[in-house]
Amino acid sequence: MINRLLLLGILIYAIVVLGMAALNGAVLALAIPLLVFLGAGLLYGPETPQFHITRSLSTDRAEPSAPVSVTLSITNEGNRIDLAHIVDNPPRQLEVVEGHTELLTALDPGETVELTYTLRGQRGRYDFDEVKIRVMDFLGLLRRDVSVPVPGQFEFFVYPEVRRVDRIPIRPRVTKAYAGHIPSRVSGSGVDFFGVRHYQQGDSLRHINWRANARHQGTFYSNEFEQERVADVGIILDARQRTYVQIGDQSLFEHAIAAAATLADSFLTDGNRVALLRYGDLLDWTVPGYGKFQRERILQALARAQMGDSLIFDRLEHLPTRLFPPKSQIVMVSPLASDDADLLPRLRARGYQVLIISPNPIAFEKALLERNELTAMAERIATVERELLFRKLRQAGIQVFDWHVDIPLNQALAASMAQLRPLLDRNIGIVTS
Amino acid sequence: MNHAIKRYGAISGAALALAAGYGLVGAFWAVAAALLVAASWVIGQQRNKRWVTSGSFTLLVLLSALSPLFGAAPGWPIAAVVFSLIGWNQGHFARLVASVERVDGKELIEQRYRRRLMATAALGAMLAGLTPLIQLNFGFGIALFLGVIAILGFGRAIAYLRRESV
Repeated sequence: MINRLLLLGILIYAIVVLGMAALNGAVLALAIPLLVFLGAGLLYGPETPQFHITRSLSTDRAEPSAPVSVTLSITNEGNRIDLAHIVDNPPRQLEVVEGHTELLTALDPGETVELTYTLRGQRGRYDFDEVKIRVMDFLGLLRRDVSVPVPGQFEFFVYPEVRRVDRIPIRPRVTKAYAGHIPSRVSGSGVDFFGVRHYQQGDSLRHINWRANARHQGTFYSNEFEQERVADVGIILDARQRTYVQIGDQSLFEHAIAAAATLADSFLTDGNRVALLRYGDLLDWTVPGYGKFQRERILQALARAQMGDSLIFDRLEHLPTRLFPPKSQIVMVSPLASDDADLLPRLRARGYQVLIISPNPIAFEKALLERNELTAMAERIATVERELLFRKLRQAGIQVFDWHVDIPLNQALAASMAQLRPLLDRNIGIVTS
Repeated sequence: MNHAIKRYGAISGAALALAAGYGLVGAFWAVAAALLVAASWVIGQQRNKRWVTSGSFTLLVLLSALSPLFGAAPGWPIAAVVFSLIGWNQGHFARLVASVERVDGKELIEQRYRRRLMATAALGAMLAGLTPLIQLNFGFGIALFLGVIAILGFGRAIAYLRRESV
């Protein structure tokens, strides 16, 4: 598309050449209005503009689909500008739900204008770009395009959805020294009955086991309770693309991310030390930590998590088994592939307690596919394969929770907690501390 | 609506002035051409076709430039060129304002724009109207020299404009 300024120049040139060739002053005179127009455009044409821009977000992290308000403040630090077309470019994946991201205005020296809009989006880490400004005179013949960097931020996180879950019954072989909610297999003050021992001076009368006393007259016995402490919990998020199902914009991976976030939040709320490992195209390791800061670190890691394919990490054989503290609890979130059954038992062999939360890819895909005879048969075969895989894992002492993602994890866990707890209890190893 | 009337008014003014210039010397083919170009311009404007509006503007200006060679009085093509410029620029400005989601101080901007446009058009029309009253006699050598200067100068000017318009 030919530029307006250039078109005007060409027309003037053509008229002058025609006038001179025809030696006709009246033709030449016709170039004058165009020349005046061009002259006015050049005279009032914009100089290199100078702006100071600040951008503020109502929050730098948000829940999925939660509105986030963005305010862009633009100050003209140069000369007067006839027309400034200001365009902010929020990340494309975020949806503008209110307000405008562009503005046309006149700016006097020192004048400030504000552009406010509201965004929302799905899980992810987003970077804001430079602000693009086009300045021009009223006639619009000359214009200058500038990209103005915004100092300071900006990366913006939309965290995965975190749901509150009941306490997840984990039983690592070793716990830490601090009081928590995980049975430690050490006697002391607690709630759960642990054993009976001879009465010792100072024992509370409330703890005397009167039934045992009745059987063994002359000797007193006291009840012991199991101490509850915090533990090390390592969450492994399987991010191998081949294990997940994606149909259209529906992805099973998003459910796995939400599950990992919910688990991390639950374990951290209970005071445990939690680490996160994303195993996919690379290893993304969030070192163990406690509390709210660790929650932020893990949620940020999950916000930027993507699936990936890698020849090296295609199978779980490169899963680092020494990253997590010895004999701690590992919770893996993975739909699982058929060849994982041979490799996961290695974690058990190294003394870890392993719980696998497995989003069910068959049920997920079934809900999105058309029902016919072929899909029904495929579903049956895949279900049998999955059952066999689970059986192998359970035989190796690994607990597997088959999660149908159409039920939120908190509800699914709550419904299955009764079955999950005895399974975990049965797997307690003997620990001497 | 008001702006549309003004914009189409300028295009109509340009077409009518050109038609009058050609009509008075009996070149009715050019009258028809001017009206046709103006009609295509209006349609192009309504359908937001930039290349049609720019093409129509170019054709009207070139038709105006040819009219003195057919004996048209100088006032008509000058009026046609000035009206064409106004219509072309108003069309661009209207498109710009319509394409932006938010315009701050819209009325003030439009007011300033109209003032600038009208002042420029009036100055151009006045200077163009005065030019035929000025008569300079050149010898062939001076005319040739000025011609060469004009060609070189315009060449450089266009190169500059091209650079500036990137």
